[in-house]
Amino acid sequence: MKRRTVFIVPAILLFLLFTGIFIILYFTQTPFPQKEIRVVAVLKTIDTNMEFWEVVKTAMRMAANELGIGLEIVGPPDESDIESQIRIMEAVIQQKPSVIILAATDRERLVPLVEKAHHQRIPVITLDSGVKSPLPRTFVATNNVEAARELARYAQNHIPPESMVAIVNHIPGATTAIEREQGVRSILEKDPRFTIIGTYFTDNFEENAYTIARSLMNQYPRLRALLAMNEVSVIGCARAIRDLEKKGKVQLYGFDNSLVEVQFLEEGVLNATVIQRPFTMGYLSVQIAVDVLRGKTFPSFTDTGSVLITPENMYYPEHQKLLFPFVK
Amino acid sequence: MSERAASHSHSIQVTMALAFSVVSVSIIVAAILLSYAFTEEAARLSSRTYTRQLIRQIAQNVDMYIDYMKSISSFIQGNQDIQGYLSATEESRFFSRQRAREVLETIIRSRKDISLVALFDMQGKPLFHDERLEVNPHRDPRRENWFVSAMQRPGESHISSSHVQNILKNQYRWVISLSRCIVSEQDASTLGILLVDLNYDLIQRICSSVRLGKRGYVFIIDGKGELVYHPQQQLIYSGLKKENIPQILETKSDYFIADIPDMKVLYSVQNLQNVDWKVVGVNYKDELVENQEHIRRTYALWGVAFFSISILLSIVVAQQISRPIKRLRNSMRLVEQGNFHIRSNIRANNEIGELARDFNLMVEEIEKLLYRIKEQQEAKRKSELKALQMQINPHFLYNTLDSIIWMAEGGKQTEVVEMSAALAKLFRLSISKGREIVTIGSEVEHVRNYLTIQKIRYRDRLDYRIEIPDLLIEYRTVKIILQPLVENAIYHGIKNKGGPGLVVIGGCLIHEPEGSRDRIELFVQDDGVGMDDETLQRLRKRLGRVKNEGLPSESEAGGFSEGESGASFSGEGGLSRKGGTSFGIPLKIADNSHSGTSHHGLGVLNVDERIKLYFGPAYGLRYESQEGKGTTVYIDLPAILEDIEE
Repeated sequence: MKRRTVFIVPAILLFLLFTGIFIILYFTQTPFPQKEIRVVAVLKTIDTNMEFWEVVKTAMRMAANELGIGLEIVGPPDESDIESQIRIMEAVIQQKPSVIILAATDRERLVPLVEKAHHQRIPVITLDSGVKSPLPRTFVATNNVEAARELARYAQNHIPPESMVAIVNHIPGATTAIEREQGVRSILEKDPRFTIIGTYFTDNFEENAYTIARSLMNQYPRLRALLAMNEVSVIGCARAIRDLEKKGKVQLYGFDNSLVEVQFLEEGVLNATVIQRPFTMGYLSVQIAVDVLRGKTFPSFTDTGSVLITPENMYYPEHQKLLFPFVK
Repeated sequence: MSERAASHSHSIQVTMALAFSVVSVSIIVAAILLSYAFTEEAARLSSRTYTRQLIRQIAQNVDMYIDYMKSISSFIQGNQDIQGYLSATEESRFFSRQRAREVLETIIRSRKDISLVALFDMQGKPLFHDERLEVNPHRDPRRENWFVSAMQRPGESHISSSHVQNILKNQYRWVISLSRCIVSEQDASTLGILLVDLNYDLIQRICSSVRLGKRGYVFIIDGKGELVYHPQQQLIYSGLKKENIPQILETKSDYFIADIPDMKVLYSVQNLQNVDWKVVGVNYKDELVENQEHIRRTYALWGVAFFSISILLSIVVAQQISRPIKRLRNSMRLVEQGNFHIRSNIRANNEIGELARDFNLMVEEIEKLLYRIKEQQEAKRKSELKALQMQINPHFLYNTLDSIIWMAEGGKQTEVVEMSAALAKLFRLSISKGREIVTIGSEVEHVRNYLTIQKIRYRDRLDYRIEIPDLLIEYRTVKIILQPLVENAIYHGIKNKGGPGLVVIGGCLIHEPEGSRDRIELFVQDDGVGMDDETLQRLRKRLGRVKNEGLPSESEAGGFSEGESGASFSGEGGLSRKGGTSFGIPLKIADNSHSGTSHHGLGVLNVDERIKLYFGPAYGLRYESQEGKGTTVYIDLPAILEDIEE
C-alpha cells in the first residue's frame, strides 16, 4: 500500500511535467529560437554577364528565401582570377558563416582554405567545380561523364556508319575536358562503326576551334562528326561547318548553352547539345547547405543532371526555361 | 509511529493537490487547445478570404490583358486595311501593306505590354508592326504551334501558353501569344493569321508582386495543365518540386489542401474568363495564420501561467482542506498520549467541523469516565486505608487493656486511672469526628496520650520529649501519623536496645521561595538500635516506590497484611520473652502485632501512603538512621492552615 503510493506520486508529477512540456512544445514547436543560418556562396565569378552564374544566383536566392535563411553571394570579377577568390575566401572564413558554398576557380590552390574553414568548423560544400580534398560535405555538380555519355549515345544513333569522328576539346587537364572526353570515348570507342581520329585542344579560343575544325574537315573527307566539349569549341566548329557549307555533311555535337548555340541549333548546324541545370545546381546547393547544418549527410557527389537538347525538342515547354532562363 | 502518521498525512494532502492539479491542468490544456484552435480557425478563415481576394485580383488583371488582346484581334479582323492587305495578291500589296502596317503600329504604340503584332498570309509571308523586324530564317511560321492552332478554328482567338517567341531573327522573347485566323468579310475564306504577343514579363510581374505569407506564391496553368507561369518552373521540370496539377484540374472546389507528399500547402484556384487558364495561389499551411509564432508563444505563456497558478491553487486548496484534518489528528495524538484536556477548536460548518465536535464530545466523555474511575479508585483506596486504621487500633486497645488489667490486679490504682484516661483521650482524638485531616496540635495531643500509655508500660526504659513549636499546631495534617512512627520507634528502636531509650518528637516550619508552598517538617527521633544500611536502603526504596507509583497495587497491600499476620505468630515467643524480662508485664499479643521479620512495619508505609494520597507525591516520610545510634523519621507536610476537603 505504502510502497504503491511512493511510486504514484512521482508518476503523476512526471505526467504533469510532460503535459506542460508537451503544451509548450506544441505551441512553440521549437523550444529554443533557432540561430539564424547564414550561408555564404563563393562563386567562380559574380560577373552579371555570365548567364550560367546568374541562373545559379537566382536559384540560390530563391532557395534562401524559401528556407528562410540569410544568403550572401560573393566571388571574383573573373573566373580566371584565382588570387582574388583566395582572398575573398579568407575574408569569408573570418566572418564565420554557418556554411560556405564554394565554386572553386582552382582545384588545388583553394584546398588550404577549405581546410582552414574545416578547422573552424564551418562546413564547406563545393559547387560546379570542386577541390582536391575530401573535406567538402558534398560536391554539387553535373556528372560530366554521364552527360557526355548521353551525348555520345545520341550521336551514335545519328552519325552515318563507317564515319570518322573528331573530338574538339578545350584545355588539357581541365576537369570538364577530361571527364567529358572520357564519357564520349567510353561510348564511341566501343562502336566499331566509328573511328575517332583524335582529340584536338583549342585552349579555349574560338579561333583555334574554328581553325582546327576547318583543317580537320579539309584533311579528312570521311569526317562525319565533330564532338565539341564546351561552348567555345562548339561555336568555333559551328562557324567552320557553316563557312565550309558542310551543314548536314559534318554533324556537330556539343555542350553548354548560349544564344549563339541556340541559333546554330535552329539552323541545324548543331545537331545536339548537352546542357547543365544551373538552376537546380544553385537551388540544391543552398538546400543541401541547410540540410548539412541540420546534421544530414550526403554522398561526396550530388549529380544535378543534364539535358540533351536537339533542334526537335528545343522548344518543348520544359526545355525553353533551360535554354532561355531569363525573361527579356 | 510518528513517521507512519506523517507519511499518511503527506499522502492525503499530496493526493488531493495532485488530483486537483491533474483535473485543472487537463481543463486548461483542453481550453487552451480549443481556444487556440478557434483563433487559428478564425485566422485561417480570414487568410482564406484574403488569399481568395488576391487570387481573384490577379485573375482579373490577367483576364484584362487577355481581353485586351482579344479586342485587338477583333479590331484587326474587322479592319478594312487589313482585309484589303490580306486579300490582295502579292504583287499588288505595296500600298495596302503600308496601310496595314500602320494599323499594326498604332496598336503596338498604344500599349507597351504588347511586344509584337504580326500578320502572316497563308504562305507564311509576315507583316510586322515594325519594318525593321526580320523573320527567323530557320523557322517556318506555318509549322509553329500558334499558326496551326489558329488555322484549326478560324475566327476564334487562340491563346498560347507562355513560350519563347522564336519567329523573329535574333530575338527570343518570352511571350504569351494570341493567334487568330483572319477570315474574309466577304466570303468567310481564311486570309491569314494574326499574331499578337503579350510580354510574359507582365504576367510574371503581376504574379510575383503578390506575397502569400513568407513562402507562398502564385502560378498559372492552362487548360491542358501546362505551366503558363510558375516562379520555380525549372525546379518543377527537373522534378525537384511538385505541384499536383491533375488535382487542380479535377477538383471543383476553389480552396483545398494540395495532395503533395512532404508539402503542406493549400491551393486557391481561380478560373479566368477569357481563356481556359487557372490562377493558383499556394499557401503554406504553417503560414496561414499570420504571426502564428507569436500567437503560439502567447498561448504557451498563458498556458504555463495558468498551469502554475492552478498547481499553486491546488496545493493551497489541498492544504486548506487538509489543515483542519491535520489539526484534528494532532489533537487525537495528544489524546493518544493521555492528555484528555485537549479540545479541538475547529469551527467549520462542514463535515470536518462535525467531526471535530464529535471528537470533542468523545474526549470529554472519556475524560469524565476516567475521572469517575479515578475518583472511585481513590475512594476505594481511602476506605481501605480507613479499614486498615481500624485494624491497627484493636491491637493497641487489646494490649493497653491487657496492661490495665495487669496493673489493676497489681493494685496500682493511680496508674490504672492515668492509663485509662489516656486511652480514652487517645480514642477520642483518633475518632476526631470522622475527619481524616486534623491539626498538628490534635495530632501531637494524640501521640502524647499514646506515649503516656507507653510510659506507664515501659517505665524507665522509655523517655520521651515532645518539642513541637506552638506555631505549628494550627497547621493541618493527616491524622494518626506520629503515633505509628512513635510506635515503630519504640518497638523496633528502643525495645531491642539494652538500656533506656529516648523518643523525641519535634518539628519546624520551612519557608519555601516565593511561588512554592511553605513546608512543615516534623520528626520522630529515637536513640534505639537503628538500622543497618541494607535495611535502610530497602525501606527508602519502599517509600520511594510508594512515592513513584502512587497507589500501591492491591496485591502488594495484601501481601503486607498477610506478611504481618504471619509474622505475628512467628515472632511471638521472642517478643514476649523480652517484654517479660524487662517490664514484668506480659505484652505477648500487643508485641506480636508490631514485631516481625519486617523491620519497618505496615504502619509506616501506611503513613507515607496517606500523606502522599492527600498532599501529593512531594510529601511523605524520610528516614535517617545509623546502626547502634538510632533512627530519625522526617515527615514532610505542606503548610496548610485552612480546612481541606477530604
